[in-house]
Amino acid sequence: MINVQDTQLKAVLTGLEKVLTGHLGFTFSVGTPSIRQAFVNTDNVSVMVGMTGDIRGEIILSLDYDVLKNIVSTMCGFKIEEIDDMGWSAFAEFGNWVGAACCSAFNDLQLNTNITPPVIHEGKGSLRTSSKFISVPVYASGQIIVAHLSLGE
Amino acid sequence: MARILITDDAAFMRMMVRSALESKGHEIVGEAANGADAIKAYKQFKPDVVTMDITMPDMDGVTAVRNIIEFDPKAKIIMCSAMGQTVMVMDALKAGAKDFVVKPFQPDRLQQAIDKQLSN
Repeated sequence: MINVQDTQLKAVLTGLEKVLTGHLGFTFSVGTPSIRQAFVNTDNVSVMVGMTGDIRGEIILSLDYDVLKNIVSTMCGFKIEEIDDMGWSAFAEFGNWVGAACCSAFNDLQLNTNITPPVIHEGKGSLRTSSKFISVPVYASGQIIVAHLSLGE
Repeated sequence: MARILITDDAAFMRMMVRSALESKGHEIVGEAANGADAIKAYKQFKPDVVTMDITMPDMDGVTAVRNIIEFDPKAKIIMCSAMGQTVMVMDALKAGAKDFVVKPFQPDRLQQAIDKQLSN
């Protein structure tokens, strides 16, 4: 029997590693997941991708501006000093890539999923849900990105 | 050289696809940010080839492919999406797409897909 929480976590971590390391060339390591909680605090910027199908909910990637600039710089192939409209679009696409990679990982477990277009949140804040979050920090070449998952069958 | 319509909701990706294809000498005749705009742009510009994302607001790419193929059964549409699962690829091909390039793509892969359609 599949433990849904382990499945979610492993699929998201697989997706994140695929994008951060496979596509963008960062090293990848994982911190300690937090216990499930009803709200999470987010950093300066977050990208949110909805998931539908056999696993439903949201994947939220939260990071600070410096990490965002590094990711967008890597995606663009040149150093970005300030995030403009194109930079925000690149960040949204990053969320899209991660969401799609998570779907691919779920697919390997015979779970059929799809994603919704990404949404970006700018500014520190809190996210709340009735279905609670698992939060796990990952490190992309030492830079922290926190993945908040609110997923269920 | 081909006349190409680019469809992706991310301006960043439209820029990347444009850059990859213009560097190979193709002409970008239009850009669309969702499936509904892609259908309108297809009818307006009648491109040689269309690149089409899947996950977009308002109308997804597979639905747009069905509509464009209904309008022009000979339309040459290459899916360009991060959603590369077999079921997604099969849905797109059944809808009438001719090829599928997974994002992030290597420019040579996209060019190869374009060349294949131009030679058909």
